[in-house]
Amino acid sequence: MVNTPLLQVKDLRIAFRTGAGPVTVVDGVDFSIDEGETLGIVGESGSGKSVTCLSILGLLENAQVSGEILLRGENLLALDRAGLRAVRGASIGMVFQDPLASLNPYHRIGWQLVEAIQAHGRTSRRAARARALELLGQVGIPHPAQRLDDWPHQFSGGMRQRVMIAMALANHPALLIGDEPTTALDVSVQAQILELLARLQDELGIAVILVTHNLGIVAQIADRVMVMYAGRVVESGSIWDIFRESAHPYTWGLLSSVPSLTGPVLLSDGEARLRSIRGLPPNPTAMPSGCRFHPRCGFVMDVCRTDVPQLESADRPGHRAACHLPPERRTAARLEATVSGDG
Amino acid sequence: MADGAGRMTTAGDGQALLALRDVSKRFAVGRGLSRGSRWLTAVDGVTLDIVRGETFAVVGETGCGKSTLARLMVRLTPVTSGSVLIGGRDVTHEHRRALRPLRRDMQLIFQDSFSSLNPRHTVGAIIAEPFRIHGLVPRAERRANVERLMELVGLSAASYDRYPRDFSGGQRQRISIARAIAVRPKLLVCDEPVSALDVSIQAQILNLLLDLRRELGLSYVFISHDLAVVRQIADRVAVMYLGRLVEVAPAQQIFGSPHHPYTAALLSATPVPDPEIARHSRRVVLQGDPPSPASPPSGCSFHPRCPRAAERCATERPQLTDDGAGGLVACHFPLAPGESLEHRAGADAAGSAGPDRPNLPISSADEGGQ
Repeated sequence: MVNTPLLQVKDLRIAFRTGAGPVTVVDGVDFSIDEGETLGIVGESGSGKSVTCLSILGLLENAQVSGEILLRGENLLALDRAGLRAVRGASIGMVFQDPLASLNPYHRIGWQLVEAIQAHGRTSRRAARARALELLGQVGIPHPAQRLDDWPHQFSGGMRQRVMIAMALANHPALLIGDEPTTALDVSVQAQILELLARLQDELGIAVILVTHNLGIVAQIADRVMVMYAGRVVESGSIWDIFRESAHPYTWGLLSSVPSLTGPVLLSDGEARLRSIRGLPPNPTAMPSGCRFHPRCGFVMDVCRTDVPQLESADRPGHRAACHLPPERRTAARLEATVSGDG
Repeated sequence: MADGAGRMTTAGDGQALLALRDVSKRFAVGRGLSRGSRWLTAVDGVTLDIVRGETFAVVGETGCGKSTLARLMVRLTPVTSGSVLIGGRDVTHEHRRALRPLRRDMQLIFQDSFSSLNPRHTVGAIIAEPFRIHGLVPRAERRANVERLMELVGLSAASYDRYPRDFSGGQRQRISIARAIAVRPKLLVCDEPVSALDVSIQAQILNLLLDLRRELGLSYVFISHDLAVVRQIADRVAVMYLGRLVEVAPAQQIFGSPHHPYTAALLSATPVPDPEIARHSRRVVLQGDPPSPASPPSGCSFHPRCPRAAERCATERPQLTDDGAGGLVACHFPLAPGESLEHRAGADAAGSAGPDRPNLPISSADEGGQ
């Protein structure tokens, strides 16, 4: 290995302390992201995707986190609070779903940006203000000089999310993590934010981790995708591996249950029904044995109930899946699971 | 039910299950002394008919008035002006008591199943509530009826005595649906019924709604911000912008060949879960935010964001008129079939915008659907 990845997560385990003992919500997650790359983390509620990201930033309260989170080779989990703060602020920026909850309503936008800039570097107030202005322009806020002294409530949802992105970029991070950054926005505004993220990535060469439940967004902007289910990674690979040659029944289920502007329509008589994944995601306090997806899987075998499948190389380098289904059966099974009726 | 063209918003022959005639809703904004000095028009002159057996979708972004419209339909909110007709009868000014039997015919399902279910009541009691209110089923038979409903919507009858908190979001939405269909309504008004659910669960609920439509002969009004979801279920679609209907057409036309630039832009902005289409289609990204309904722009309220806007659009408000293809559109410069949204209608002569320039990332595979 000549190139160290920007971020490498090894055997990450996260358990929350509860009255009834620790509950494991992330169980042995491994992944990495290279400089300038966009990784989409996909999964449904409770899959552990957001918690994984919060742990990278050391933002989890009341949780036991183990494993390694290596940022350019330095293990963030081994740092103390101050050390983590220094690394984090200078290298990683984060954008959340709800920008209103992340902005202080009692301070002007400019003041908050200046705070973020000064928190992680020796910058004069004047220089920080100039940088704040530059950032607002960079994220596409019209007339930034006039908006600098506005209050958060004077911005629309989309503009607030731009401010959050500006704040996340304040200290030239190498990695930007977005946790459902467009989920609360209307589609027309979502399209603007996605366009902005793509442009920033081109201009600044930053790596992006985008956590989302929306496969359409992933298809649009990710280079690689990691699919999580019930606290584990079930599949990871390039965007093409996942959308064209996926090797895991859960991914097949996700892909065929997402309503789309292309593909089949349900219409009246149940012939072209939207495929759904039967059953419900498991409760973290009572995870199924073996493969956690087995109770919902259409291809379940005896081994799935007892043995945890390992994330193993599928067909191509970089494409990995955790499934007991023999490789020679995968293509046929995928067609059966994803192509509706008329083929 | 996709009998294609001809179905206008106004059938006008008493056939409509539910009809709105030039319905508006205004709210006073401001507090204290300034209250009443400013008005916000949430719904502005909406006329439409819901025909028996159809699924009529209303699509739009935050603040477009679609949820208010849902409430006006079931008379949960009184209209400011215009009239509401149920089965041809004008009920605009009917009193609550007179409305009750009519209310049975129309039930509302909300996005947030958690706050619409009483946390202190068991599932059985929640679903049986309409029986009690409407005096429909003798007490002795209620349990059996409720259990039948639970099974119909895919819940185990064994969970009769459990509480809403014991259920996941998708299951709670099933409870809401069971309660709504308990009174054998003719029309279900569903306000973002799957928006809070994960995709795998979303598909289950959409399939359930389709099954119930077939088994019980229901009609739906389906309110949503998500065109991809609407495409799965709607026969007709109305697109709303700032309180007004800007396009109403059969689903096939809305998704295949939209006439209003806003409809086209919404379709273009909807992410497609296919990397090839997502990366290689030309995307039209609307600039700016939807304007506030408290201070709508002059003329066509979409004009400040519209890539096709001309001078006329800023001064003259377009009326909803026949688009000549089976739908209605409110636009001075509607898109011709196959015309690209980037093309300025006013700016150049017709002809150069050839029909060989598909404007949207939509394959023709959706035609017909079977």
